[in-house]
Amino acid sequence: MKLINKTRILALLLTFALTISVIPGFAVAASKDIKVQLDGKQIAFDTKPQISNGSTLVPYRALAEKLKATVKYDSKTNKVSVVKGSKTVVLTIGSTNATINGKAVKLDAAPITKNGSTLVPLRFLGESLGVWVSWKASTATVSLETQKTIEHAMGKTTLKKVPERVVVLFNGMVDATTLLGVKPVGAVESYVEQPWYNFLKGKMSGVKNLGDETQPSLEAIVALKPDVIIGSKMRHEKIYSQLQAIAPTVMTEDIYSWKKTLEIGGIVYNKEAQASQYIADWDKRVADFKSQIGSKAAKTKVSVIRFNPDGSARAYMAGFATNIFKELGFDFPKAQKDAKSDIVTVKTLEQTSLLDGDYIFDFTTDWTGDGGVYKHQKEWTDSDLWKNLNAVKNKKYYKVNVVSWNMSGGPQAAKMMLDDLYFYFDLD
Amino acid sequence: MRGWQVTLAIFLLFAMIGCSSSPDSTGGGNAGSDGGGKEDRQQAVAPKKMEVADLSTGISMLSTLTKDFKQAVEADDEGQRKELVAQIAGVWEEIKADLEAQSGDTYPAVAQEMTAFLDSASGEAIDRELVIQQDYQLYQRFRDLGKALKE
Repeated sequence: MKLINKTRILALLLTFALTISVIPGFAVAASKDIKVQLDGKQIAFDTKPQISNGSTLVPYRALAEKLKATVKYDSKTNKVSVVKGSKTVVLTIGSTNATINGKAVKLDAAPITKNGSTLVPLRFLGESLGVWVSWKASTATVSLETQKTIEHAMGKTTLKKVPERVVVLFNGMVDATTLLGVKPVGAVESYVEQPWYNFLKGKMSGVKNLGDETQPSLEAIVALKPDVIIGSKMRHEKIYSQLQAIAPTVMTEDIYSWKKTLEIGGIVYNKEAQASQYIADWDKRVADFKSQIGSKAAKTKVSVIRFNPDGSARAYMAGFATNIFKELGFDFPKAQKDAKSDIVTVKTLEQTSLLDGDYIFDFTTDWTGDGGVYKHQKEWTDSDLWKNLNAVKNKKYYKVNVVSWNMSGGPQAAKMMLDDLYFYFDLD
Repeated sequence: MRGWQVTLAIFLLFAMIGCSSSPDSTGGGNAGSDGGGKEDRQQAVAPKKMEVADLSTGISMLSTLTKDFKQAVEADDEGQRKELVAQIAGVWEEIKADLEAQSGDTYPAVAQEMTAFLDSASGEAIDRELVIQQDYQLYQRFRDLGKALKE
């Protein structure tokens, strides 16, 4: 009987322990091991950081002082106000409702009181005050940075807070910026589907059109009073010093290396985790594609082309689409590789064989609007020389989407192009 | 009036009645006039009755079916091609009302592309390059719609 009673009690205790662990409010766990660093220096707290619903909570007063913010606590309303520069953040103990400059926001975890200290969500407070916040799982360290020095293609640029007024000067970065949930105040227009590519339009309402990627309006940029300008050395090297004079400027090397574009955006916008996750998801999909296509990729010569309004055509040995094919393990036509040029120009119909491959992907588009390039394309593709190309004879000549294969050049476009390749190579 | 004149008049009368009741007459003022030709071709597709749980499922099905269609065309599998066209038409019938309600801005373009595709993809002889191009357009379209619905 005694044994049965003991067993029952133990069972009851276990059940109780399991039950309270899944009740909200009981999911707060002290973590002795979480460290918080500000600009590389560890912050000591009287009350240890807590984790609630995946959020790290820290004593707000100690944190605010370190961030050189002023704090106020209203015991009647249980509200904590933290002010830094132009930002006022108000939290309420026990509530997931907060405001930033009067605008309502929802928190993942409510501020709590423990041992006489009020603990608030660290990431939320830091980000609200324009501080870079990152989590390093291997050392259980939350890292806060009040400024960020970014090494880029044209030097180093220091940002004094996470930018809010962002100007973006190339299409690939417009793609990356919207992907990361940031709306720029100004951006260069798209080449077609103007002013913004259709897949971006929904997120670009109210954004100032700064003109062509190759020649953005400096006057319009000045008027926007940006916190940061993101351009590309490939396009904007000559105006870099002028851009720097307007606002801190960060430059990518080129406009089509979308992973680098996304990484830079992630750093500037305090969205590194999101950027890294996107790339990780991409890598998984690439692995899946390669697994499905097997050895076929290495044996398949793909030719990426377009026709030009001047009566010529070109094959790409470098650039956005080509880089994706390389990443997937495809080969390229020998004649194009032998040309040893990023762009292989084909000036006459008689040279058409340079455009051949096992597959030809053509993203010709009429960006001048006069239809001339399509006439030229038809003239060549109606010819016997064209019809004699291997890809054409084998019915592997495809006209593809110029936005996702060439003109956008960003992470969302990359995913769309990869989707297309599942379509064209008959993969699941 | 002479007999031949009466006969001619009756003949002309019947000829006129016949024209105005034809579904192909122009200016007939009903849905079966100018648009009747396209509707006739669509109905020639005979959409297959498809089980579609909801809009999201339907869009996902169409993404898959458009891929399968391309493969069928390239494999010269006439039977499969026709079956897939009927399935695509069937799923479209099931979802189009919901799609219009949910994506009113995009719907007209999608409907137009679907009409053009079904028009080209049905029948015995098809323009292979054209249908694959139209199929690709629909594949992209449904991919984007699927993504938009999730957001």
